[in-house]
Amino acid sequence: MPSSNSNFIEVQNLIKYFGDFKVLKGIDLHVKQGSIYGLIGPNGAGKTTLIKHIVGSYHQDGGSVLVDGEPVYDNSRILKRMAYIPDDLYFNTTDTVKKISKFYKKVYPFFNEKRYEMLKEMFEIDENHLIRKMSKGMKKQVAFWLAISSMPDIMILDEPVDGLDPVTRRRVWSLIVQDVAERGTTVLISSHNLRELEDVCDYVGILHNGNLLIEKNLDELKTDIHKIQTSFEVEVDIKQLEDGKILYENTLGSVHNYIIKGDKDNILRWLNRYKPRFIDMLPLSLEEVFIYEIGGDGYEIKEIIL
Amino acid sequence: MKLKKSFYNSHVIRHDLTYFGWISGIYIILLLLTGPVASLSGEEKFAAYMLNLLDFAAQLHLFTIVVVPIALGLFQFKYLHNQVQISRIHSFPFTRYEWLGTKLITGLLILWIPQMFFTLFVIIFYPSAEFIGNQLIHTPLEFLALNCVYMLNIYLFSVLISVMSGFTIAATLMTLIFFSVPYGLLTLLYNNLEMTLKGFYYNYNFLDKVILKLSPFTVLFEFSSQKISVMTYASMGGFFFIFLISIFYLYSKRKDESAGDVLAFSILKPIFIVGVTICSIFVIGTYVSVLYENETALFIGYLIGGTLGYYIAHMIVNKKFNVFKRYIKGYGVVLLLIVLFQGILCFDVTGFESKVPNTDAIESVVFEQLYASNTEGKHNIYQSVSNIETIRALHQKLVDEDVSSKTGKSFYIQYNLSNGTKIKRQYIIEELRYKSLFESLYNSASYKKQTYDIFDLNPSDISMALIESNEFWNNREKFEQVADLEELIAVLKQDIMAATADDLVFNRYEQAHIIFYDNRLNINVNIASIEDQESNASGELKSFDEIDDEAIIVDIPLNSKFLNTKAWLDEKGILANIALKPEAVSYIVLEEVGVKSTATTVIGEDTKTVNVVEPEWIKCVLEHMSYGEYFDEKEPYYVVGVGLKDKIDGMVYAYIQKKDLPTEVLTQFRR
Repeated sequence: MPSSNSNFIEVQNLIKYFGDFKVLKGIDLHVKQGSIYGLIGPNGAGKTTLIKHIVGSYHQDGGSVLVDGEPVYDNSRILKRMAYIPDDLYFNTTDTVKKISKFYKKVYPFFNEKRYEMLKEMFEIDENHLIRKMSKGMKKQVAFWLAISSMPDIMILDEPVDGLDPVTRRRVWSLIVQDVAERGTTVLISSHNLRELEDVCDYVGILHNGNLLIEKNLDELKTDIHKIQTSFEVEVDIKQLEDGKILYENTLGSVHNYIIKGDKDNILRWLNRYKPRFIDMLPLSLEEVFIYEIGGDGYEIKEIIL
Repeated sequence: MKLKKSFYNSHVIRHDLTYFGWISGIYIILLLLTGPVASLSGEEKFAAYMLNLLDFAAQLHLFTIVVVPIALGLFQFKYLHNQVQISRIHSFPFTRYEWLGTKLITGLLILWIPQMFFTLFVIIFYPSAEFIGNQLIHTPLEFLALNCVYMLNIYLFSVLISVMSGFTIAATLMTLIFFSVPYGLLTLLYNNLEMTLKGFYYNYNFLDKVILKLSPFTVLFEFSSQKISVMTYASMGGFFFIFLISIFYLYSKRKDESAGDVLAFSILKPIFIVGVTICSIFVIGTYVSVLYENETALFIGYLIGGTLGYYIAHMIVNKKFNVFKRYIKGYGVVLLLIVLFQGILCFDVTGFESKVPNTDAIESVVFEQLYASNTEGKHNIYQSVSNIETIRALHQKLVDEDVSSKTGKSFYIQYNLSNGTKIKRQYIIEELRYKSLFESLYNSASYKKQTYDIFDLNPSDISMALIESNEFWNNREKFEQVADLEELIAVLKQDIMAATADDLVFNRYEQAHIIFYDNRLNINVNIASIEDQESNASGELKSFDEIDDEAIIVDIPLNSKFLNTKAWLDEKGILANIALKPEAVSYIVLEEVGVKSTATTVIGEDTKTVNVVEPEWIKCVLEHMSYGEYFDEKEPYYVVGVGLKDKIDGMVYAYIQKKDLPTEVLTQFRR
């Protein structure tokens, strides 16, 4: 877990109600400066609600949301340093990129014209074109164009590549990573595209039912959960394993497949006691980690046969 | 020095103007097109028309002054009602106060610039000083200031509703509904109480002079008809601060996630539901009771109104139709409260209807026909025990008899009690039903002195008395000598004090009006007839109607029974010119028209007529004929047509009851 003294975004015990419904149930989230944080979770977990607190739109019913040590709600100093790209983009009917860029230049003090011109070449979008007439993907590109031109210290991205073609996706991801590498930008991304997220994130937080189940360095997270394939001569009761939590198991003939959360060495030591014919430890993708983690929290994968 | 907490951002103002400036554009075009459109529609005095546009008498302003600011408020703050927009906007680098303040300043510019431009345009292109400030109620500057302040208030009101709501359609509806509060709500309440609570005093003055100014919509009527009072300005100023403070406070407390809800603050939900239910109860109650005119209908109307209002309010708040089971308990409470409310009124639980104070507790009583007073604030107050007892007895009879008449006149009773409290009641009373009591009151010196202002008249204040005939159209005489005026006032006082209730009220017939003019105003009336004036080539003489009304101090009717005054006028040689004298009558034609309720006043059809030519009978008819206002419906009466000796055409008409006709005349009818 990142150390609290270098956290750029720090959410503590965040509670939010929508009417009587408790949407966020005491979330602690920490994003280090210059890192990319992936916020993942099933639909309705509360990701967008959490993000709207971080961008200063929602006010919490409990806890605190700090960015660079300051409460973010109604704080224009912080918001000047922040770029937010929501999932649903909003532009006025008469907006063109040129018109909005003029507005951005005035209100974002670090807006970089050079960068703006450079990105114009890259995105190849007519800046005089009405944004409302653009496709969803083009609108997303416009949002990126403007966000990155405003030279933010923090970028909050809600489903940033949704609707983009594969080439543009790659271009956008590389822009994000480049900005983090060059300027130390802090990025929080919420996405369902775990495959792509896995490539760029330093940290991952898994949100489920208004709770943050896990918040870890991606590498640590992946080394903490193990996919094991093994076979024994004797009958082994895997439930006796004390140093690990079994997230998933199945048996095909004499071959056992396990997803076990715990210390790798301890798990291996325990398995070796039963003299297995073989043991294979396979790496887990972020998607698998996500599925088995939230599966362990009661979000079962129901197979429906039609 | 820069304020620590900024309330606006100039960049956003420019940005916002590009989004909402079109409202300003449409507004200017609308104002500028009005003249040409009127011209195309046949308006001939184009310049005068344009100048008249600089006042609220022009209907256009009564429309734009309301519609433009409401539309602007709704458009500008529409983002509050959309989850995506509000989150995006509040993640821009501005504080909420800064964003809100900027929006309000933009709104103000959008509203004010067109009006300022238009006013300047008209003044520059149509600089007719004769019109400006003369024929208009307000000067152009007053008009501009008033227009701007009013529009700003309506705009703030619209913004306030937008902030309170989370749904644009709901905000629009709520703006329109709240627009007539408190006037609309109080009018409904008064109407309903007037229908259910016997004796309830419907205080129009309070509604029209105070509440009218507190309702954003109704105050407009004042703009178009009169100079604006200090109270109206004060109320607009008060509203400005209330609206502004409320907007800033609620905006800071408003949660972005409320976008999409009907009401942005949960605390408003019960207020909204109660408000809609109450309005619905009174509106539907009024409709039903107007149709069926009884208390049962009113009660059923209340129940229907309560049901509709309560459930519709819940449907709106919850944005779904299926709310019946879930809120059934609340509905039960609504029904119970309606039954309780109606029960309290019907069974007079509070004792309101039956309360008649004891004579010894009464210091004085105001008793008069509602709104009959000519002088503002002047009321007929009775202090003598006998008069107080008469009024009290009348009130007691009204309570005891429980007659709910709708055909009489509205009377106002106000008991001023010795302990300082006032009891106010209003009844529709058929005077004939309680004639003896009314007679006792009308015969009293107190009634006469308070009804006829001549008793307060100081002869030295009068420059002239003009007597205008009711019977001979356009005939008039005047007195200007102090001695004549003093004598005239003396005989009039004598006649009024000697007159009976029958003479003054129940069998009233007025032959002329004696109008006393203020000597501070230099009034010079030419008493030549209008025909004479018209034939006069100079055309400089003023017709009678053009005399300044403000110069009139007192207008006393010359009652046909004022014998002393008539004798005095006769002595002066002018009575024959202004009032009927028996000697001037050539004949009287009487027509039997049956009882009052089936009366027809057309002479010369199938009904039987009798010509009266005997001087004695003519005198008798002239003495007894009247306007017939208080004829007994069961008694037959006759139309009187008086033919004059020196006039071939034109008759004087009146009415007479059978009992007042000489027996000989009645005999002629039987033939």
